[in-house]
This record gives sequence, C-alpha cells and structure tokens, in this order.
Amino acid sequence: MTVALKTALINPSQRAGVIAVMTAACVSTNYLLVGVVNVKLMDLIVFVSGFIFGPSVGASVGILTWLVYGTLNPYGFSLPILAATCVGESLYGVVGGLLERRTDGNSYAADGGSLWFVNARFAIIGFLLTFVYDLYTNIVSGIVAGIPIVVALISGIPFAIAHELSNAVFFFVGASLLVKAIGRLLQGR
Amino acid sequence: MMGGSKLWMWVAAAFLCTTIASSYAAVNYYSQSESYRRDYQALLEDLEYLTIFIHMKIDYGNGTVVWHNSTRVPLNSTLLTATRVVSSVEYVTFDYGTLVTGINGVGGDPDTFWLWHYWDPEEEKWEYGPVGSDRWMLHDGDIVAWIYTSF
Repeated sequence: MTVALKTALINPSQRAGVIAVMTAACVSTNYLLVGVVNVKLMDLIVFVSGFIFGPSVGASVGILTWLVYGTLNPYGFSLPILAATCVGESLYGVVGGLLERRTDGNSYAADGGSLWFVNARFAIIGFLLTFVYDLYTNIVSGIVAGIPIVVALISGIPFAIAHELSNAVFFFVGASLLVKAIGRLLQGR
Repeated sequence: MMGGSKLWMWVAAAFLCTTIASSYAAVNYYSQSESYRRDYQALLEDLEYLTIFIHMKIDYGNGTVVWHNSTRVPLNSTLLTATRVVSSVEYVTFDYGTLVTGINGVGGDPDTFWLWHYWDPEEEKWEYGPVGSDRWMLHDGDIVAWIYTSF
C-alpha cells in the first residue's frame, strides 16, 4: 500500500490531529532555531505534510504555523508580511501534495542506490520552492517597507542564499526519511 | 527506472538551482564591492579636507636624487613633518629651530649639511629655506627639496 492510498483513509478528526501535530512541530522547531536566521525545518515539515496528507493539509500547516510564529515573532509583527508568508508557506504544502498526486508517491519511496537520486530531486524541489518563496516575500517586504523592489531583493540575497541552501540540504537529508517514517506510522508499524 | 527525458529535466532543474545560487552570489558580491567602493570614495573625499599634496625632492649629494611626488601629508604639516612621512630623519633641536642631520641614514660627513629649498613658482627657481624645517608650513602643491650640500 502506498503512502498516498493509506493517507486517504484518515478521517476528519485524524486530519485535524495531523494538522495540529505537524503545526506544533513547525512552531517548536522555528523557536528552537530562532537565532539562526532563515534556517528552519518548517519548510520541510510543511512540504512533507502536503506530500503525505494532501495539499489542503500541507497548506493548513503552513498557514497555521505562520499565524503563530508570525504573530509571536522576536523580529516583530507586520500584518501584510504575515499574510505574504502565510501564502508563501502554504506553497510548500500545496506543491508537496500535488507532487505526490502526480507521481503517486511510489517514485519517492525508493531505497538503495536510487535513494540518492530521490533525495537529490527533493533537494532541487526544496531549493526552487524556497527561491519562489524568497522572491515573493522579499518583493512584498519591499513594498511594505516602501523601499525599491530591486533594493529589497539585493539586500535580501544573503538571507535568501542561507534559506535556499539550507533547505536544499534539509530536503536532501530529511524529506524521504520523513515520508518513510510517517508512512510507517500510518501503516501501524 | 526513470526515462531519459525526465532525467534530463531533473539535470536541467539542478543546473537551474546552481545558476540561481551563483547569480545570487555574484549579485551579492557585486553589491558589496560597490558598497565598499562608495565608502572608499567618501573616505577619500573626507581625506581631501584633512590632507594636502606636496612634491619633495631628496638629493643625497652622490648622484642619487629621489622625488616623492604627490605625497599626501596632513594639513598644517611642516617641512620636517612631511620629510618624516617619506623618510627616516635624524635631527637635533636648538632654540632657533631644528637641524636635520641625517635622511635615510645619510649624513654626518664633515662640512656637509642637509639644506632645504623651496621652489618659487613666480621666480621659477629654487630658493634657500629661510627658517628651520620645523617652522616652514607647507601648502597644497608646494615643491620642496632636501640637498646634501658640502662646503
């Protein structure tokens, strides 16, 4: 039984529970890594949530995480930026869900020699998703702060590099591991 | 097993990632270098207000003549101060002023002295320094000379 087929069996209450647990994981790891700017496990967890439980669950985890972390944020609160990050973060979950549907999950449940290739694909997806996320949130931040968009993009480059490279590493190392681990949990192993 | 076209799609995606990362790095380093260049220019402009340029000739009397052209020295520098900027100077101080006894290790020979001159732009000739080198204030563009002269 693939992960995708198994997850289709969870009922609404289980679904709510899954969203709560994954959101809690995101929020707690965010605060854990609060001192390391733009290096977070949240994106990976949101992506895997979408991959395993579907786009709506992934998007919900992303939005709820930012509603907590963006409101109680040591770097300050801004409603427009919060809205942008909620939308941007949900992208990870939605793409994760769509990707699983498109590939039926099986091609990502590899092991052995092809695992490297699977992980590399996750890393590429993580990198590109983060690139889109950073581009989008930096543009919104520039508009909100009233600075030229080019300046906002250039000044955000060091943070974007850290974000995209760290996510590529996290997706490479963690995505297939998480998918497998959660899949086994769902199968009651 | 993955088809050939899909494999190349992922390879292309990987190259896209490296292109994005390297472009980011290039823009970032260019932006940083521009920032440093602007800071350097600003510092240089500030320095213009605090320094002057002078031209100094040192004639060691043995055929060796060294020109220190466009030497930047602090504002309100005396000739002695400027000479110490470009060379190692030995001197003694008297009530009437300072006597330079050696420049870059040259000096101390009998009946031979370090004398200084300034270039008079109106007369277009070298003039003997009228005071001790520690009392001659330099101005922007001044041309001065030290000549190891024997009598």
